[in-house]
Amino acid sequence: MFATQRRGRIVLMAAALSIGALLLTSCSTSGGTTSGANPDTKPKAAGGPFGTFKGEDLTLSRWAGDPWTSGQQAAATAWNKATGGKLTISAVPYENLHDKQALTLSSGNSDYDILYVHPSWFGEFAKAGYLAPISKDLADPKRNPSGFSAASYLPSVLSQGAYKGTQYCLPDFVSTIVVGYRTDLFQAAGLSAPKTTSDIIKDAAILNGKNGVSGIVMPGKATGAVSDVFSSLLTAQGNWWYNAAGTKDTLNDQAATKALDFYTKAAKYAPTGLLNMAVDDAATVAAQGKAAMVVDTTPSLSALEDPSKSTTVGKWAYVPIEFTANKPGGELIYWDWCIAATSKNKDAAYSFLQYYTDTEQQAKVALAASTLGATKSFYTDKDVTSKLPFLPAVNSALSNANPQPSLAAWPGIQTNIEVAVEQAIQGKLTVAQGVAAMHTALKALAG
Amino acid sequence: MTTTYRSRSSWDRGGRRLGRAMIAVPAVLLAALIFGPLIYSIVLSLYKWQITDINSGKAFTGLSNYVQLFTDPKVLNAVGNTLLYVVGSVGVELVLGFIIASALFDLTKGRRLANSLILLPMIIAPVITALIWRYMLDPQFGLVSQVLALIGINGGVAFFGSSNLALPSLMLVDIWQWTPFVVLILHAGMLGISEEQFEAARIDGAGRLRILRSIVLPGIAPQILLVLLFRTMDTYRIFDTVFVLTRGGPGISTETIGLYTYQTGFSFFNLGYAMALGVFILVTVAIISGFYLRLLRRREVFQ
Repeated sequence: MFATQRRGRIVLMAAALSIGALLLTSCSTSGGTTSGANPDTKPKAAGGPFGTFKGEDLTLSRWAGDPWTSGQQAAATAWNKATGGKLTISAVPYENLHDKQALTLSSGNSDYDILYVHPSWFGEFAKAGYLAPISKDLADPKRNPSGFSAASYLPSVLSQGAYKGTQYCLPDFVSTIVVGYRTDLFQAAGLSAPKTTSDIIKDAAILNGKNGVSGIVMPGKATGAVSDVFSSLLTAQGNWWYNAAGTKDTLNDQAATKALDFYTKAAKYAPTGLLNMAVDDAATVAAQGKAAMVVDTTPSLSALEDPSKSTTVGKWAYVPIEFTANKPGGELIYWDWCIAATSKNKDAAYSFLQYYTDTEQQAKVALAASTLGATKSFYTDKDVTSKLPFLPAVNSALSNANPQPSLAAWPGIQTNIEVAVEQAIQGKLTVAQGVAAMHTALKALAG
Repeated sequence: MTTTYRSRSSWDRGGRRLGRAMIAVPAVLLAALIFGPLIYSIVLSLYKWQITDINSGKAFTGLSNYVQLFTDPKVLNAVGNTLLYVVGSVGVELVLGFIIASALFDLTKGRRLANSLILLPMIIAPVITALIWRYMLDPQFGLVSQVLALIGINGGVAFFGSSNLALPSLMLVDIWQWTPFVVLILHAGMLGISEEQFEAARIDGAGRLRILRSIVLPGIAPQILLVLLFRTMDTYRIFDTVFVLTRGGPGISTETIGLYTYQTGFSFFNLGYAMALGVFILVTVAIISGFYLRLLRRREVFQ
């Protein structure tokens, strides 16, 4: 009797638990969105984020550094308000970001939803299956503004976020290397705008030492920027470090010799301490009126036009790097926004990616930090084009661009290339020996 | 009587057992914390492990990382730079520290204030110290360049941008920060010498220099060895100052073994080789420390 009753209770409890579990399952995540959330809700205002995601908590992993982190915090706050979701930014120093992301993702128990991925480790993460594909979201008209699709991005930049034909990431933080020159000093010396690298060296020699101003400044410290400048010098000559597969050294001796010759000659007209100058140091020297020309990345060049940092605001004009007239070139510097494969909030994550990489948000970033967006409409935005004087030079340079290397072996290769450039500047290596040292460094491509 | 003796003896034995048991737990924990990572590092140093290639596992390669270590010209350069840095920094710190400690020892008024002021650089975090010196020695905007310009040396000096000056400039930063530590230890040693020795020397007509040479120096020999031990170990592992100020440049003129190990592990992600370099640092520091400790034991410091 009692045994039958007990059995009946057990059956009832099991049934109740099963129903409860079923209800819970239906309420919980169904791949990308919790019930009650609607990823297809249109924004209240143009340029706003798509979807409502009440109750969804997202974590975004990126490097710490202003004005980018604080700018993104503002975008996250606006996104939270518009969608009801809660996006938290987890920012760590750049040098720790790869390790932090890789170790967290490899644990398989990551709480990351959105990842800011550098090109040098994008391939590694895509190959390891840490990233979620976004091709369907990008093609879904219900989740994007009218007319917005993959075609809205610059194809050469968007393609860097694809792996084996699948799109994983959306790009931003576009920049390159351009040349800035002081229009007042050039005018006073009766010089016209430099067109080619030969002009730059010639003008630097003429202007060097006049009124305590050096002829030219550029990064000389091995922090990655020397390699960026050198990569731009190669690109402008139609050459690149390696083949499309990233397995074979394609460095052309003649192009590398010309590039290294330019670097070493320019260094002769540079201020004291060039070899300890990173991108920001070079820009500060130029902004403080201590150099007539500057070769640097565009985010750093924003200092020249910032009245709080520069005594030379409005005195600069910009040209792309050209070895031969009308054949500009530059290294394409960018970052990728990706969704973690383990994210339980993929729809909300895509909503933020689309919102943040679209022109309206990127225009705000550009005006605050001088990194450029990757959408085509960004480059026709009147507000942006009128306030960023180096934009035409960047556009021109990026018409012939090679993306920043994204190979696992690149950090080691890059260090050795930068050491070769520094040693050539010091005269410890001849230009030919410097080029040979670069070939030796590139042997690591073979693994 | 016998019963009392026995019960006390068994009580003592029980107490000792309890004591041993209580020590055993933290001792095992401490040993695990020290030797666990150490053994794991040694094991990893026998593998080829590129952490950027997440899907490819660790491949056992035996001693190949160590073979590479002894044939890698960058290791030779880094060890050379490190030894120069150790000898230059520690040598100057010892001499300067001795001079300042002697001056403090002779002070009758304001010794406490002088002591406090001298210790200030040591309180600052090494990274902050490095940044302070970076701005002080900046060839364009630094204080030193501005002062040099006043005496006609224009254009600045590339303290960290010249391969000849970068390593001595790094030593200067270390000397500025750590000479106070030497002063502190040597001064404490001097205060431990009995006053009678000085009085006897003065009665015998010994001069200042003779007192320093014959009483003070032998009296503080254990402290000198301690200072050498600590500072050699610290400077041999130098990383933070170099990373902030030069990153090993220009070229590889300031690349130390600590920095090269960091770059191998966390810039090039070659963990196996980085572990081998770490083990190399550990062994060389242990050999140098062992040498100093033997000298210290000979002087019966720890007996």
